[in-house]
Amino acid sequence: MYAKKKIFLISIKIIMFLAVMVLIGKGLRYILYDDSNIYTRTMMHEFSHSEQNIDALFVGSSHVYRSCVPSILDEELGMNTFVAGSSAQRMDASYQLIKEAIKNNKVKKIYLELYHAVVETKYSERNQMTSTYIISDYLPFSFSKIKFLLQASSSIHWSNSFIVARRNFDKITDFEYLKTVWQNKSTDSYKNYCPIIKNNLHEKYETKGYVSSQSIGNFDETLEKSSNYIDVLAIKNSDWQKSVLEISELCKKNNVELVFFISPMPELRLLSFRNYQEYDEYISKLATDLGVKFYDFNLVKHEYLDTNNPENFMDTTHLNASGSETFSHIFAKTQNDPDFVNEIMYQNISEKLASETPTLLGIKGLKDENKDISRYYIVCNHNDIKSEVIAIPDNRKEYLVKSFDTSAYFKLPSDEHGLLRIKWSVADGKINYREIKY
Amino acid sequence: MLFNSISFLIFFPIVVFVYFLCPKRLRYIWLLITSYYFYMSWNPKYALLIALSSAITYFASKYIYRFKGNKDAQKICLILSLISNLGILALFKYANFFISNLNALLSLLGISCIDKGFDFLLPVGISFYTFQALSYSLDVYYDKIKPENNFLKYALFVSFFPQLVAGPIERSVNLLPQIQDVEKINVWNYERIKQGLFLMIWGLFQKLVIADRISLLVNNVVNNWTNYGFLEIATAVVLFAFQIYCDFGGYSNIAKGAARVMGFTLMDNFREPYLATSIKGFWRRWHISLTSWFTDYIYIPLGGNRLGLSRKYLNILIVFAVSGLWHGASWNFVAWGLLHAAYQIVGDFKNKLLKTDLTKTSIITRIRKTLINFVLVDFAWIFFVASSLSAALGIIKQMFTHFHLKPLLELGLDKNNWIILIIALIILALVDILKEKRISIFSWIERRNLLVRVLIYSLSIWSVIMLGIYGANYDTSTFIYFQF
Repeated sequence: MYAKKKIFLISIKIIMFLAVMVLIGKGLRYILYDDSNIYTRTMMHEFSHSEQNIDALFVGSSHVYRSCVPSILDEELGMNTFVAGSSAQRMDASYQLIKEAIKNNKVKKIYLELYHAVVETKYSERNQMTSTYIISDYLPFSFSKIKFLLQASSSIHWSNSFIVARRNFDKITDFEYLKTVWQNKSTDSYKNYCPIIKNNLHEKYETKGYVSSQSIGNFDETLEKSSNYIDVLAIKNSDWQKSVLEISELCKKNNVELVFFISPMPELRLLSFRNYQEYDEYISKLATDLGVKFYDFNLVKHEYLDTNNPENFMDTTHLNASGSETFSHIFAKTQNDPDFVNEIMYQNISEKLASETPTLLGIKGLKDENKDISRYYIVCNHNDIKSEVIAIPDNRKEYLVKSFDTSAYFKLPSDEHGLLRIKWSVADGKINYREIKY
Repeated sequence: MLFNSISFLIFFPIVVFVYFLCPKRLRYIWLLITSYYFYMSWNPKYALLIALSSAITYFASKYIYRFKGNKDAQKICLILSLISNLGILALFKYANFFISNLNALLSLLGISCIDKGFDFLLPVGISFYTFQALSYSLDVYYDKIKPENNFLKYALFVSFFPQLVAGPIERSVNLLPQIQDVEKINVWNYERIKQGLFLMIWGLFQKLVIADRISLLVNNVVNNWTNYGFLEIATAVVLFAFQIYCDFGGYSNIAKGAARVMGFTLMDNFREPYLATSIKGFWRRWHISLTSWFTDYIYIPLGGNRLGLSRKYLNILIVFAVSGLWHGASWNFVAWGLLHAAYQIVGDFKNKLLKTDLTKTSIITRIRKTLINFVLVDFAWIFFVASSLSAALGIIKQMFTHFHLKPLLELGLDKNNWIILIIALIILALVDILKEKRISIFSWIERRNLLVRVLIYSLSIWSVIMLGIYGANYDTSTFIYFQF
C-alpha cells in the first residue's frame, strides 16, 4: 500500500515536471520566435482550419503561392482549391503537406509544382533549414512530423528542428528584440491570423495561400551568382525523387489524381540554365512512367503569356499579380480543355525558341572561380548572337571585357560594380544595345 | 560517443532502463557489454587494448596474491604488469614523441634521422584506464585489496563507461566492492536517481554553456595570437582557466551523475580548485584522482618527504614532470608540470623560511592568496593551451610586448554571448562558494516546496538546452581531457 502510494506520488511529480517543461518551452518559443511577418503561419492556419473541404491542392515553392490564384481557380475548375506553398519549399515538406491534406479532406487532385531549383540529392546534407521550418513549425504534432524532421537533415540540426526557440537562443538577452516580439504578438491581427500586408514590398497575403505582388520585374541587372547547369543525372537517385515517388504512391493509394506542372518564369531565368530542356525531358519521362500528366507552362506561347515582359513578373523569377491572374486562367483552361494545351503550348523549348526573334535576354552571374574573379554568362535565345561587352565601373574608366563574337562567357573583378554596355547583333547585322547593371 | 551527443542521449536511457529491469545477477554483464559498446563507438579495434590491459592486470594480480609471502615473485608479477601496460601506453602515446626528439638529437650530432614514425590513432582514454588497471595491481601488491575472482566483474571495473575515457581514475578499494555488490543495489531509488540526473545536468551546464562558449573566444585568440596583445591574450588565458575547469569538471560531474543514477558512487575529482590559497592546496582540489594516484604510487614509493628536503623537492619535480608528460607527449606539457613543481618548491621553501602559520589567515589574506594562486595557476595554463612549447613562449612574449587594445566583442564572442557567459560564471562561482562552505545545493532545493523544485529542475534543463553551444553552426566539441 505504501509502495503504491509512493509510486503514485512520484508519477504525479513526473507529470508535473513534464507539464512545466512543456509550458516553459512554449513560453520560450512565444517570446523568442517572431513569426508575426511570416505568410506560412496564416497559410497553415487556413490549411488546418478550412471550413470547406479542400478538393484540389496546389503544392510547391514560391512559384506556386505567387502564381496560382485560388479565387480564379475555384471558379474555373469548379472546385475548392488551396495553395500550400512556401519559400523554397522542399519536396519532403510538400509530401508532408499532401499527407496532412489527404488526412483531413477528401482531396480529388494534387497539382505538384516541380521548380528545378528545389531539387536536392541528399536531405542529410542540408545546411540551411529555414524552408523546412516554415512548414514544420506549423504542422500539428504527430509521429509523422517527428519522422519528417528526423529525415529532413543530419542530426546536427535536430535541436533546432524540434526546439523552435533554440534557433534564436542568442537573443535571450536582447531585451529590445524580446519587447518587439511581445508587441508584435500582442496585436489582434496576429492573434486572429489576419492576412499580412507588406507595403514596402508591394505584396500581400490574399487568401488560401496566395500572395499577390504589385511589383514589376527588373531584367536590367545581372542575375545572382549560381550555377547555370541543372545536374539532371543526380536527380535519379536523389531524395527529391524519392519524395516525388512517395507522393505518387500516396495519391494512388487514396485515389487522388496527381498532376505535375512547372510555373512560368522569365525566359531570361529559364535560359540562364544551359540545359533546361534536358530537365524538362526528364520530368516528362518521369511523369509518363508514373502515369501522371505534366504541364510545363514555360512552353506557353508568348501571345498567351509573354515571359519576356517584365510587366508580368515581380522579379526575375516570380509572376506578379497581373501575371498570376493570366496564368491562373490559362492553367484552369488547360485542365478543362485538353485541346487548349496543344493550342497554347509548344512541344519543347527548342520549338519555342525557334519561333522567337533572336534577342539578348540578359546576363547571369556564375559562381566565383576564386574570390577575386566573377564569371558571367550572356543569356540569349539563339546561339548565333554576337556580342561585345564594355564594363563601365563606378568611379572608373570604362574598358573592354569581351570582344565582338559568339562566346557567351566573360570575367570581371568580384568587388567591382557598375554598368555593362552590351553591343549585340544577329545574322542580319543590325546592331542593338543593352545596358545591364552588375 | 560524447556525453554531449545525441547518441549518448539515446544510449544512456536504454542502458539504465535495461539495467533496472534485468535480473540482478546479470546487471554487471549488461554494464560490461554496454561499456565495451560505449568504448567501441570510438574505434572498435581499440577495445582489444582495453581487454588486453584488463587481462594482464587481472592475471598478474592473481599471481601477486598467490605468491603472498614471496616478495621477489610478487615483484616480478607486478613489474611484468607495469611494463606491459606502460609499454602499451608508451607505444601508442609516446613513441612518436620519442622518435621526434631522438631525431632532433641525432640531427644535432650530424647523424641521419629515423624516417618513419608510427601511424597510430591515440586510443581514447588509454591514460585513464591504464592507470586505473595498474592501481589495482599495485593495491593487490600492497595488500590493500584481495584480487577479484570474477574476471568479468574486474573487466567492468576497468571499463565502466561513465568514467572510462576521462576519469575519475577510480581506485579498486572504492569501485570494485560496489561492482562486486551490484546485485544488492536498490536501483529504484527515486531520490538517488534524481540526484544523479541533477548532477548530470550541472555537468552539461558546465560543459555546454560555459566551457564550449569560452572555447569560441579562446580558440580564436590562441590560434591567432600574433594578432593580439596583452589584454586580449590575458582575457583568453583567464577564461581558459574556467574553460578547462568546466570542461573537465563538467565531464566528471556527468560521469558521477550517470554512475549515481545506476547506484554507484564515484570519487570526487574536483573540489572548487580555484578557491585554493596555495599551489599545494590547488593540487588537492584539481584532478584529485590523478594527483592521489601519483602521490600514492610514485611520490610516496620514491620516499615522499621522508628522506630530507632536497630529496622531497626532487620527488616533487619527478612527479610533476611525469604528470605533465601524462597529459601529453609534448614539451609544453612537461614545462607546465615543471612550472607547477617549481611553484610548490618555492612556496614550500618560502613558508619554511618565513615560518608562516598556515592556520591563521584573515579573510583579506585568504582572498589575496586565492587571487595570487589563481594568477600562478593561470599563467601555467598558457603552456597547456598552446600547441607547443615554442608557441607557449611566443604567446608569453607577445603578451608582454604588445599592448594595443582590440574591443572585447571582436575576440570571438558577441554581446549576447558575453552576457550569458558572465551570468553563467557568476552561477559557477556561487555554486563553488556554497560547496566550499559545505552547503549542498541539491539538499537546499529538496527542502523547497514541490512547485519551486519542479521549476528549478525544469529551468536547469532548459538553460542547458537553450544556452548550450552545440548543434548547427558549431563544431561538436570533444572534452579537452579526451586527448589524454
